[in-house]
Amino acid sequence: MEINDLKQLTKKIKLEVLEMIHRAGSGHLGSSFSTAEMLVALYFSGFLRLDPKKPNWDQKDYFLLSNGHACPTLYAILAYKGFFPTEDLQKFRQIGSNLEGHPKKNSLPGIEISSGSLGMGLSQGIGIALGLRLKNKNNKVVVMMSDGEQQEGAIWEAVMAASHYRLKNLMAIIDRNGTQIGGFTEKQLALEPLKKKYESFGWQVIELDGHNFGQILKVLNKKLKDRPTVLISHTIGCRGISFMEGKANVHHPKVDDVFYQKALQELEKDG
Amino acid sequence: MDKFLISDWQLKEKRALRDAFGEALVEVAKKEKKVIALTADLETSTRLELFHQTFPERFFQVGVAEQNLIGISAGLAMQGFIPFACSFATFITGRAWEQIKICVAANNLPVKIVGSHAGLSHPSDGFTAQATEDLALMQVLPNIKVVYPADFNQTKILIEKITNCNTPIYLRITREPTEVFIKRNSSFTIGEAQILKEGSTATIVSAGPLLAEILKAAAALEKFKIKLEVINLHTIKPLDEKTIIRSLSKTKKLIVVEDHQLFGGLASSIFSSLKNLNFMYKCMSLGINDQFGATAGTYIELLKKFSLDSNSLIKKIKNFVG
Repeated sequence: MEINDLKQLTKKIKLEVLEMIHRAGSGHLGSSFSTAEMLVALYFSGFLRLDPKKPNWDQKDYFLLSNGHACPTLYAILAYKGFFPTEDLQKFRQIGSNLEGHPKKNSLPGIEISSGSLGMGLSQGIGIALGLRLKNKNNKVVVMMSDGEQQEGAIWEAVMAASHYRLKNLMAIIDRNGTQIGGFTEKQLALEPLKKKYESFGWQVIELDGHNFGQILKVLNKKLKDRPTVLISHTIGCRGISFMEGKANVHHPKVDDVFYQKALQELEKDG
Repeated sequence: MDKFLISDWQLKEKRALRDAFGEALVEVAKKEKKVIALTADLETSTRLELFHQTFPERFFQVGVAEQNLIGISAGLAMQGFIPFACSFATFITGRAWEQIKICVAANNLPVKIVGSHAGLSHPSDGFTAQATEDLALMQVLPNIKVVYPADFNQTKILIEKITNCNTPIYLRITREPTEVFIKRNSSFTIGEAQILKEGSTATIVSAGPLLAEILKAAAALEKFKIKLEVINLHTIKPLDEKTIIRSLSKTKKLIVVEDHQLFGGLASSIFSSLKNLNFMYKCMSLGINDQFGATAGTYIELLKKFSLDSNSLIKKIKNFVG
């Protein structure tokens, strides 16, 4: 897909996600919107090799959503990609639905890990990457994490190990939207200098604007080094909803009818 | 007469469960290429040196990082491997509990969680290295089977059985050399308790090397016409309540002995499973009663401290049945 198509698709996905969260009465709009362009690029630019008809294909690439709360966008993307019917999307967070509040492995095709409790995805990504190496395969393993999640100690166990094992087919993406449930990350527990931290652990670090498809595609097409890579993707929580952008409570706003109508108008206008 | 017991077991050399684990894992890994071993810095303590030497490419040292140990093991299991994640019982079940819940148990992945130095079997390092809560932490999780072999020989047989079991397993093993009393060629099934000794006075249920103390006590109590029926609950979950109820319907007296907290361990799960019985029974549980472990020079000293050695058991059982 070309950049303009990716932009159009992102708009569609975000409208779908707004609807899902409004209908469910809960769900994390902040990260769902900050991750939207990156997730669309991973799934629709040809970066991840996937076949929705064969979710257990042995040639597939792996995408692990460690920040499980961004799942509304992942669910919408998987449905648009053809992993399951788009009609299922509006059952998000309903009893009896496979679209759990946070992703559960084996509940839906295309979901690689159970997540929601933070700090566990990277370790599992390392295990998958080591398993692939044992089988002499080089499928990509991509793990998305939130920035607040970097406060979990287990992340740094994994960051150390990925570098130790020189896992060059492992890519981490940090959705650096600057906020967590309690407010701004730098006020809660400062993460900066995040780039230096990863570099000192032996990773290749690339910073980019996570809402700019031009930059995203350029970075994804970079040749991998002989060590793990992390993208620090600078984003904005609830991106595209002007009255939420930059707010400390952007992580999990209540999407009531008034919020919904206002947000809908803005998204439909310029996406 | 004895189906499971070695006749002169008290004369045999003591051997540690962890040694059996290390040897058996190499044997199993020769046949089953998907077996992987991982440890959080405790290669020697969990007896993985031979595995490491024999299969260097299938061994992963993850450093002192139990949470990562479990996450990586889950990822390897997703790739079709059979990972054995090894550490001290207290570290792996305690520090990495939530990873075990979410990455392993909820996904029903065949990760084998191996907790060594369990119970009171690591006397000298004190309570921070001892695991007296691990069974509670593991048996509360759906999908996980919990096994605790009685001795060296049973550990050897069990490793192959759990390798072939396509579910998560918690394998509890111990550090100190203890009595070898189960016959090497005795067959048993995961989920089916073993009656090591038949008796009519009282049913006594336990698991792990503590069974040697119980067998010694049972032999001594024969003089007083107290005939204990000794049940080896090598599989703690799923619980074989049928075998226990069958024995209890005969004896009407139940004693549970464990090297674990009484709350959350064998006693808790056994007593809560005995429902809707059409007879009354008397019961007693012996174990660690809402206390932490402690340092001791030897294993037997620590057993005495918690009244779990054979002499203490003899006294308590005499009072109970008398």
